[in-house]
Formats: sequence, structure tokens, C-alpha cells
Amino acid sequence: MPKKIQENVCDKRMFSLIYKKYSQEVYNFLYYRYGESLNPADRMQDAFVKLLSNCKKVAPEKAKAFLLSVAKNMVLNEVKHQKVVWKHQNQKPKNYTHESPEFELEQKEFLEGYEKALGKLTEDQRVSFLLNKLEGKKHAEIAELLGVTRKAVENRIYKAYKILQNELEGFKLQK
Amino acid sequence: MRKDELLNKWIKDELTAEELKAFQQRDDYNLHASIKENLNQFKAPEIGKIRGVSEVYEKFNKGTKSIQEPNNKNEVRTWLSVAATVIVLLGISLYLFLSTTPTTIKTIAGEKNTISLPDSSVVVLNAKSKLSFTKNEWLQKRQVFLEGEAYFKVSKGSTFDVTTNNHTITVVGTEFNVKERNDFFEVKCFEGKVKVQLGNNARLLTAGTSIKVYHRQMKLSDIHEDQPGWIGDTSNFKSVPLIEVLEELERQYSIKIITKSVKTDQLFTGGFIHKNLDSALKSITLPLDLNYTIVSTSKVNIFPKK
Repeated sequence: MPKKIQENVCDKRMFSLIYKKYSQEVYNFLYYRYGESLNPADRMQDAFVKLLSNCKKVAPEKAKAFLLSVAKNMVLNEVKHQKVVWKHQNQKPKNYTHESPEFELEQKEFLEGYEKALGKLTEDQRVSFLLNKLEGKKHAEIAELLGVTRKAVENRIYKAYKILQNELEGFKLQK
Repeated sequence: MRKDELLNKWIKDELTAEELKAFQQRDDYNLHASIKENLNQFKAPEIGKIRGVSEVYEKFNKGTKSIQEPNNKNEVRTWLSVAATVIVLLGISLYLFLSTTPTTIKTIAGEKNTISLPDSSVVVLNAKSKLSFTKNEWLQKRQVFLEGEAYFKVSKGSTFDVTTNNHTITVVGTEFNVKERNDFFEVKCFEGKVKVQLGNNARLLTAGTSIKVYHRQMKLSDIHEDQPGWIGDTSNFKSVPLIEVLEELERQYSIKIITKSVKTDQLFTGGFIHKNLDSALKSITLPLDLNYTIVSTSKVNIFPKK
């Protein structure tokens, strides 16, 4: 028996609202998991296209779960052949106004090392770590997203940290 | 792996004031602080400014053959108006007729996929299944090839055939579920009428009935759901041989089940959810006086309770 929903996902206003609400979150998931080289913006929009194709079958309150499930299941064949590429945003840290050339160089090298190190994490380590630390997502939420236990997420974040520590130990740092 | 507990707590922001002081005295503190501080250099850019929702509609219109954007009117069942769809299909592209290779969609263990056919019929493919059809033949003849299990919502129009390895099912605008796994074949009709070809005989199923063939034995029964359980992430079985139940469990969770001294021919009535392996295993083993051990993430043993 089809439910008569007043507002459904096919409705243009509703769909635009859903896009506004969740596009960043879906994008974040793909970006943190696969990096830039796999065009996460396009993949995010692919997920929304899939939602649009299935708009009759997905209730508005299920849209978020549907989008993230599609994102999670995207078989990116290119992943196997390409290395994950990370780029830092080149933001100057807030505390410093004048830096010596040496510091600037060390900072640059550190960030480049950091990029490489992030590329060395597994997808799940990286997405767990970044969603938790950058986007403030709780362990439980990430666990549900990835379909694993809360403890597994905690372990992955810890492992990610250890790998970063390992990779970045050699760099000269100034505080 | 022995964990550095202090570090773990610091990562989780769970240090007491004293613990924090102790942590800050450590040699590696600077490194960890730098890792934390520079993390925001890798924050994902704001995507709303770069990509708008109109691009999604563009991609959608390019991909499917519809040139209409979804509108605000209450949709009763617009996918039933095959006439309009046919005109659109004919008008859309000659490019459709250039492609003669069949479209094939496959799912792996634990995966489900929803597919829109050229006439707006919808197919939901269950795990470890395969669906094939040829786009450019669609106007003349609606026919798909199925391996495994799928739920169909067919728009009204000409006859629609589902061909599995061993059977053919013919429908005209209905909702039904087809399942063929090894020696087990089952069709459930939720709406409309379904004609199932079995050898030289044909069986007509009406809404609310199902037909099951196992080891060349056929059984007709009533069903009370309005759609298969697996679409809502549960699998339900009514007098289904245990071997088939366990195989479906393997498909949903991508694991291998090894049984020892278990009668796999016995019939099982019950169900399991797709989201929690422990719960799913309990649902199956407890009613049958069986026990299980999860040996690894991909292997489970099932054996009788002593």
C-alpha cells in the first residue's frame, strides 16, 4: 500500500532542502575517505542523482541514511590504481604574524610530510580520524556510518594517530 | 597491541587536569600538539558555494531519459503513464539505438541496488545477484534476465518477462519478488497478477500469494506482507530449508558458514536482521537448538547445542 506522503523527495523544494542540508556531510565523507584526486565533489553529486532517481522509494527522513549508504558503497575502481592525494589548504596559523624564512620552510615541509602521512592511512582509519577530529563527529555516529562497533572506531583513530606520529617524528618543529 | 593509555585519553580529550600536565611534560608532546594544531589545514572545503543543486538535476536529466523535472503536483502513479514515457524515449536519442550491448548490474555480498528501467519500472536487486537487459530492445519487448533475487515494481504496459536460469515469469504491471538460488525457486506476488512458467505448465499468481519450488516439489501459499522483508533490511522465511537460510545469511553479511552435524534440510520459519551478525545468528540458531562461534570476521561455525 503506497503511503500518501505530503512532501516527498521528488518535490523540487524538498530535494533542494535535502541537498542544502546534507551535501557538505556527504562530500566530507567522500573527501576524507578518498582524497581529492578521485573528485569527491562529482561523486557527492552522483549520490544525489541516485537519490533523485529513487525519490519515490525514499522517505525524506531516510534521505540522509540513503545518501551516506550510496557514498559508502561507491565502488571507485580508480582507487586501486591511483594513490590518494592530499593537499593542505595553505592557511596561516592564527598565532603567528611574522615568521622567519626558516620557520616557513620547516612548516611547509612538515605539512607536506603530513599530507603524505594522511595518504598512508587506510580509508577507514582516515575517514574515522578526520570525521572525529575535524568535524566533531562522535565515535558512535561514525560507528553507525561505517557499520562497525564504537570500539573499532576508537581503535582506528588511535592507530591513525600512531601512524602519523611515526611518519612525522623526524620533522623539526617549533612551538 | 599495548596502547599508550595517556595518549589515547588525550586523543579522546578525556584527560584530567593532572594527567594533562603529565602529558605536556612528555618528549613527544610537541609532536602531538603539532599534529593536532595543523589538522585544520586538511579540512574539506565548503562545497555549497562551488556545487549547487541545479547541477544535480542536470546530471540526472542527462542520465535518465526523462526531460521533465520532478514537479510539485501530488504524484499518484505517474510511472504508470507509459505512453508519455514512450514518446519521450523515442524523442530522446538515436544514440539509444546505437547501443546493442546489454546493460548488466551486479551486486556483491551485503549489497543492495535499486535500478530504474527505461519504462520507469523499478527493480531492487538483493545481495549477490545479477540483472541484465538490453536498453534499445525495450520498446519492442520488456525482458530482463535475473540471477539471484530481486523485487520488481513494473509499470503498466506490454508484457514484462523475467527470465532466470530455470524459469520464466510474465507480468503486466505488478509488484512481485523473484528468487532463484541453486535449487530453490520462489515467486511472491504483492500486487496484480504474475504468470510463472514451470516446465509445460503455467501458474497464475494473484496478489497475496506465492509459489515455491524446492527439490522439484511445488508449494502454493498465502503471504501477508506488502513487500519483501529484505528491502527493509530483514530476511523472513516460512518453512524454508535451513541451507537456503544460511546461504542468505552468507550473502547479506559476506561471511562463510561451516556447519557440523547439522541437518541443513530441516525447514525454518523465522527471520534475521541485516545489521547485526550476532543477533542474526541467534535468531536462527536458538529456535533450532543450535549454537555458533564467530571464528573470524569472515567465518562462522554452527553446530548442535550439547
